[in-house]
Amino acid sequence: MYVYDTYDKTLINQRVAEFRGQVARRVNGELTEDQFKPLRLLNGLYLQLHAYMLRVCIPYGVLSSHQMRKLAHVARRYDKGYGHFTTRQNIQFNWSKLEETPDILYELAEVDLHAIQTSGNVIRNTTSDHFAGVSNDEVEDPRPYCEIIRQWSTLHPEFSFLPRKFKIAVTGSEHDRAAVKFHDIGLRLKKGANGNIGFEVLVGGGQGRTPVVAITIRNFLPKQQLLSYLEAILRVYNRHGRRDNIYKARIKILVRDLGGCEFAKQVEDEWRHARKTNANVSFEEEERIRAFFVPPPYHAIETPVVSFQKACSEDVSFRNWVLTNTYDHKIPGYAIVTISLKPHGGIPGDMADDQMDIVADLAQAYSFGEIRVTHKQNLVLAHIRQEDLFVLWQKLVEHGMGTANVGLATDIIACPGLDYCGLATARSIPIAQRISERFNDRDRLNDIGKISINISGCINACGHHHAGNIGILGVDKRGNEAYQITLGGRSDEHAAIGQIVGPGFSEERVVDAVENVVEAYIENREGKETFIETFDRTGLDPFKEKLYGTL
Amino acid sequence: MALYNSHGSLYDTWVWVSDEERVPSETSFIVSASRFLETAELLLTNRSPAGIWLANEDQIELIKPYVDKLKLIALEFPHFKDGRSFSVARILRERSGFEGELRAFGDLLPDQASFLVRSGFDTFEISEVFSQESVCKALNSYTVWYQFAADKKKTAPVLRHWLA
Repeated sequence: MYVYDTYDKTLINQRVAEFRGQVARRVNGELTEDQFKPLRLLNGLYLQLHAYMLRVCIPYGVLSSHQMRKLAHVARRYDKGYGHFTTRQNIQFNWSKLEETPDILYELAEVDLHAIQTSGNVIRNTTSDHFAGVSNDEVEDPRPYCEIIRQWSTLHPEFSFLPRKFKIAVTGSEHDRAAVKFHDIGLRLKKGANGNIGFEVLVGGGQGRTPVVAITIRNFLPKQQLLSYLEAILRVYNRHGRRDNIYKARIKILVRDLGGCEFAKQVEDEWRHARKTNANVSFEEEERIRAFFVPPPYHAIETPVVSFQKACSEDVSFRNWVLTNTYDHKIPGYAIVTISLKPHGGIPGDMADDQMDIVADLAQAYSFGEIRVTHKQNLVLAHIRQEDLFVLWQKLVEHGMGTANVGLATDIIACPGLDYCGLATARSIPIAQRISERFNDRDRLNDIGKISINISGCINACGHHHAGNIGILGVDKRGNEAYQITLGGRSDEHAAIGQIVGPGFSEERVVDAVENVVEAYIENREGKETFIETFDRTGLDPFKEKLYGTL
Repeated sequence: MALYNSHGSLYDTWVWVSDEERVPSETSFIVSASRFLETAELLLTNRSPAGIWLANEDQIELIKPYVDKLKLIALEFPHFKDGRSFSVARILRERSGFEGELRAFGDLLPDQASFLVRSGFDTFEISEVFSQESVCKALNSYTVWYQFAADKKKTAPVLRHWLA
């Protein structure tokens, strides 16, 4: 992974000093709350329902064991002993005290962590494929470009006061695990006609109250031109994006209002100028950054690994976990492990301080000291030898992290909802917990198979309900929480927005409704169809019928 | 309002002139772009240097023919969260070749000082509610920059390979 040099370290230390001064000026009254708010947001500090929440950046979801131990320390010392991993591959602490946040940031900076631009109307943490560098289907590792974007977007003088927040995702694979079509800018590495590598550039995707699937504005951008092209897109947006209405300020609205062709034309016009500046990084710098992402020193392993096969055949629970929570690694004899942070009945994405320490130790012992956070709120150990899987699994089970449900019905994405968030109109966490308890049966989970259930506690869609095979949106209906169900959403390369199935359900009935949707799938599926395949074939009708009776 | 440049506070030698007032003949003056455009040729032959302020960035196209004759262009920040003028500044500096004084005015925070300088502004006006110390501190908060901008400062990605 990327290691900070003196430039990177100097910058984040100067950021901590600046923020300490800003907090002091707020306390002595020089800054009003209105003036301080955007400044604290640029350092990830939100005021929620009960306390300040600090969102710490995990660039493109990659952490070292060392950094994870520091997160555990922060959870223990400054918070209530836990943290919450988010859909932007970050972590947030829900119980921060304003006057302590400069100290927290100071401690985080000791291990090259920060909270820069995890909030506010700026370019946010660039996200990526959590299997980057280890999956079989990759054109090129996207992480060096994520790091190039991280540096370029950090304290960008021109783009720190945008109309609205701005999210970029990069994938290097045909199979999109980074949901690039739901981002303000999505970048997909691809091979050009002449064999050179470049990017397909997509813009205008997003969720929120106006969900949109991104459109392609450039089929092939030579990768050396990445930053000048991004600068051109951002400049068009910064100048012409709407600032009169917060709900119409994202780039997707500008793209919609101008039309894709006109927007693309304006970007290309801008780029003719921008590409002549020194915006792009040099070849030497690109090579320097790329060198941090070379594969770790893998062992040559003889396959099949007999001890692993034996453990699989002898222990049915282990075998089940291997089937759901591990993924093929490009190196023979290795596996990619996903650690589920969705224990049945638990809070999606939450992790206790001692669990963080355990995962840090396990990563150090078995996975070159590297941990990844997924946008589905789980963790990944990307380089596990098959012969180590059994021991690793036992340790995870011992500490409550052995749930075998990755990609299944109880692997639920949920926003913090009304339990924490000042914007929420309904609770998300208790609904997630109840659904998770309802489907807590191994055979049933495996029978239902691949499915995504995403829950948002308000129209802002932080729980990605639009992109869930089953989406649940909590709305406030005259003082009562009500839940609207959408079906058919997906965030992969076939990205689609879920369709509303019908009238919403009360808090009491929503879990039954989800169960009915799942039953309708079981009754209608053909052969080995997954939920989404059945839905794509049948459409809403059989689900409507199951939920609301005869049509 | 107090005037600053990248080194700290300074004395303002320009006079703001409203659309109704007569332009002075002995001191440099700043008029609105719309007034300037009505009588551009006349104002440019005045003995004292002319500057303009832009309320609306759409006026950029209209003032383009005069960019090399203007001694000052002031860009407004109607609210400190409205960052359009950062882009306009870069365009004027890096593309239109404006070489006079580029000034920021309106609702600005000291904390934006170095972004202003990096985007190509020479001077900026900040309310006296904010201490001079806050502004100077903000100007010197950072010594490392990652991205190329209008100030043409050497960036970290360049410096890393500078001696190599």
